[in-house]
Parts: sequence; structure tokens; C-alpha cells
Amino acid sequence: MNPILLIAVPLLAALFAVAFKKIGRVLLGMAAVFNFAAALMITIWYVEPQVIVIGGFRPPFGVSLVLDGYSLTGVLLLNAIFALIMLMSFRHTSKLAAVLSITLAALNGMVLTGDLFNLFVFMEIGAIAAYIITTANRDLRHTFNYLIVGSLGSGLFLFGVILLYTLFGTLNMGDMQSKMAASPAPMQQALILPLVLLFAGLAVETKLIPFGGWVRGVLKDANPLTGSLIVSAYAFAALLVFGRIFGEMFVLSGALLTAFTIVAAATLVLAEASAFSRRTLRETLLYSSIAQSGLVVLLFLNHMALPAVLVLISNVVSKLILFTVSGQLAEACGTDETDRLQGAFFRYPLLGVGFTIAALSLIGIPLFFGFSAKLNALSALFGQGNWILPAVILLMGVVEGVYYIRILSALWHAGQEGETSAKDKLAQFPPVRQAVTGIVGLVIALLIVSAGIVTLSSFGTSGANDFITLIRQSLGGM
Amino acid sequence: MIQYFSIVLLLIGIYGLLTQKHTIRLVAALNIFEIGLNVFIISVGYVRGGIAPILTSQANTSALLYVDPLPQALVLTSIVIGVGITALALALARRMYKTYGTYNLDEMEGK
Repeated sequence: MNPILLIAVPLLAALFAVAFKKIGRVLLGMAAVFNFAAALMITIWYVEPQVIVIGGFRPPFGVSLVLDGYSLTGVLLLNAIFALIMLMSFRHTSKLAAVLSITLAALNGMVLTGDLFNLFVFMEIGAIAAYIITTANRDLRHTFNYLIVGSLGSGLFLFGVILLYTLFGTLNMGDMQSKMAASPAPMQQALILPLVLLFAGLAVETKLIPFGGWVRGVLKDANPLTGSLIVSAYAFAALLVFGRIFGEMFVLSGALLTAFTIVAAATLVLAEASAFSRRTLRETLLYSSIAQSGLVVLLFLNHMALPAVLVLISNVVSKLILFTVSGQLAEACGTDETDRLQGAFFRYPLLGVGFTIAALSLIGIPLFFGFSAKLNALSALFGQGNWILPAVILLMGVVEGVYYIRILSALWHAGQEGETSAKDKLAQFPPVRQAVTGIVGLVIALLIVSAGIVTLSSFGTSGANDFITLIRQSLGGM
Repeated sequence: MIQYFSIVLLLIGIYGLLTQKHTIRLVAALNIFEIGLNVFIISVGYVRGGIAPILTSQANTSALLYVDPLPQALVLTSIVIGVGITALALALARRMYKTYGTYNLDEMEGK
């Protein structure tokens, strides 16, 4: 199956969703299911990395797609995440069917493309869709702020791409990489400005401090659809793009690596501190999400693609269920203050099981996938002889553990007699919605546990350098 | 020379984005930034004395001095995206005006 269908089919669905509004949501659902099934089939039949030529223009002269273990991991999980978001937040999609179909096409394009300008185009299409999706929030000022910051970031990214074109005469990522390897030392110096511009451009979507200032406004009151899309699907695609550029194309060293590492480490530390100090669920989760982005960027910059991808998968899969449940609790109870949601999971444990396992996985409790991911990252850093970054990551892991345990103990604790508790308000929570979210959360929780056990069993013995190979080796070794 | 001009436009745009609080002025600053970027992209493909990269009966050999056609194709896409962003930003500014009765972001804070 040609991977171009992962982009073309949702685009076609968007076109028809505009023309036939009444069946827009059906078309969106069909596109989401098709993409997940297609990504699964592509994964099953995947043999070796390949370049998909479009329009008969052989690379580097035309735009091409790259299907390797990295992008395959991306499209498989991205389409699975998107389908699950649609399943859990379907009722919020009524006016957004066309936009969400375009989002699906753009995110797949970002992960698959092998051309820098084409990447810019997909990023812009995805960004415009994201601006429209965030208008579902009450306050449009935050969307406007996001639009301005996002457009400035995209402009800087494009500026960097054009500077790279002037240096190498190509926009094809693979061709540029080979020309760069053969380039003399002065050319390496000339790369500094374009790389800084690319980093600044990507830092907006990857939510690095100070470029991620838009996140709080957009996500603190986000509905389940907006929240889970931005912190899960968008973050996944943006960080995979970051890894493709800064983990594979450009191997950084010297002052530039130090500067970017400081930005990523500062993001991790400041965002974890902010998450710790918050008392509302969604604000805590959004800062936790920013911190995890900082960690993933840190790993990519330090040439650890596999640990970075594992941490990224652990984060986005867990955040998907955490944000959806938080958004739905906020809708049902009218607040997402942790203290006022006391006993919410006591009232409906099915919601709580998925939430709890996702949170425990993020903390890094053994046997969950988050543990394997963090262990992989820490041992890779220790293997490099690096002691400072693992110490920072471990310390922040403790901070993360404290606030997640605080949230879990509040939500599971029914409260004393006579105290205000969420457990009565939850009676207004429609049972069907509870069941759908609860069951999907349970399935995700089972995947987190099984992936944790499977990947841990081959930990240290696997020579895999991408997630798909790791899983195949792990399953083969069982 | 034209590249210096584009850099000046880029800087004016960034200055506007950092200092303005009026939503329409912010959109204008974003447009100035984008125009600076587009002029820069066009300037990258410019060749002094170059001819259009179209094969004709007179210009039928690759030995002739052609301008680079790729930046022209790129800038067309960039312009289209810029127009889309501007339209969306103006629509948002208008809706915010209907809600708050002002285009100024600072004045919206108190309402």
C-alpha cells in the first residue's frame, strides 16, 4: 500500500466534508479508520526503508516521502492516537469535521515527507487547522496569541530552510545530508544561523521555553478534543520532525549543542516546577507535557533517537488518556481543581483505572512502558559518560512523581462525610461517555503494561535503533 | 542590495509583533514580516543578467544564464499560506472586537 494514501484520503474526506456537511463526521470517522488500518498494513508489510517518488520526479528533483522505521513508528502511532481521540471526543467534532480531516493529512505529511519545504507546507496546514480547532475554547485572545507566535515561528523556520537551500542547492533532506557530510569546515560555520532559525521555528510547536508561551492560554480551559489533540497528536508529530532534523540530519556539537541543550533542560526544569505548583488538572498536565517535550528534545539533541522516541511515545499515549479524562471531568463537574474533584474515581473507577495506569507509567513505575522508556534514556546517557543530565532527569522524575501521586490520591479519595466531593456531581456524567472513555482508557492502560513488559524483556540485549524493530525483536524473542 | 531591504522588512515586522497591542496592527506587522521573507526568497534565485528558465527556440541550451526557478515556485506557496493566515487572523480579530468592543489586547484584559 502506498503511504501517500495516508495524506490523500483525509484530504479527499475534507473536500467532501465541506461539500456535504451533514455527513462530514461520518467522512472524518471513515478517514480516521482508513488511516489507522492503512498504517497497520504498511507496518505489517514493511521490509526495508524506501523512498516514495511522487509525480515521477525522482529525488532530489521532486518532493518525495520517506518510509523507514522512524516514520513508520510515527504514522502507526499517530493514526492510532488520532482514531482514539475521535472515538473519545466524537461529540466535539460536529463543526470541525473538515478541519480535523485536514489535520490528519497534515500530521501524516509532516512525519512522512523527505523535503524541507514540503515539511514547512504541512506544518503550516497543520498549524492553521490547530488555530481553528482552538477557537472552540471560550477566550479567542489565546488563539490569536497562538496564531501570531506560530506564524512568527513558521516564518523563522522557512527563513532557515531557504538559507540551507542557498548553501546546498537542494531541499531534499537525504540529499542535503550527504552534501553536508562532504562539505568543508567553513560551510559548517555557515550552518549556525539556519540551524538557530530552524530550532526557533520548531521550538514553538514543540513548546520549548520561551517559545511555548501560547500553551497555557490555549490548553488550560481546553475541551477533551482540543487538549488531547494538541498535547498528544500535534506534540507527537512536531517532536518527530524535530528528531528527524536535529537527531538525524544535523548532528550538533560544540557551543550550538550546549546552547540548545540548556534551552531543553531549562524547559524540563521550569515546566516541572510549574506543574508542581498548579492545583488544576489541566494546567498540571499541560506543564507536565511541556516538561516531557524538553526531555525528548534533550535526548534527540544528544544523539539518542531510540530513547527519545520511547519517552515520546510513553508521554503522548499517557497524555492522551490523562487529558481526555481531565477534560471530561471538567465538563461534568464544572471545574478541574484537584481539591474539588475529590472522589471522582471512587464514584466511577473505570475512568480512574486508565488515568491511574497512565499517570504511574509517566512517573516511571516498573513494568509500565514509561519505566522502560526512562530506563533506556538514563542508561544511554550514563553510557555516554554523562552524569549531569541523568541527575536532572531523575530529580525531575521525583517532582513529577510527587504531583501525580497528589492528584491520584485526591481523585481516588472519597473525602470525609459532609465534605464537598465530586462523586455526587458525577451522577450527571452520561454513562455512555463514561463507558467509552473508560474502556478506551483501559485498552490504552493494557497496552502500556504489555508494551512495558515486552520492551523490558529485551532491554539491553536489543540492537534496535527504531521502535518498530525493537517491538519486532522483543516479540520474536518472547 | 535587495536582500538587505528584505532583512530590514523582516526586522520591522518582528519589531511590530513584539511592541504592538492592537490586533489589526499585529496582523499588519505579521504581513510585513512575511513580505520581507518572500522578497528574500525571490532574491535567492535572482541572477544578474539571467533569463527566464523557459526553453524556447532561441534559448534551447542549458549553457545559458537562467535565473533559479525554484524560489519563485516556493514563494508562490508561501504567499498563499500567508494570505490564509491573514484571513484567519482578521476573522479572529473581528470576532474578538464583537466580544470585547475593542481591537486592543490590553483593553480586552479588563473586560
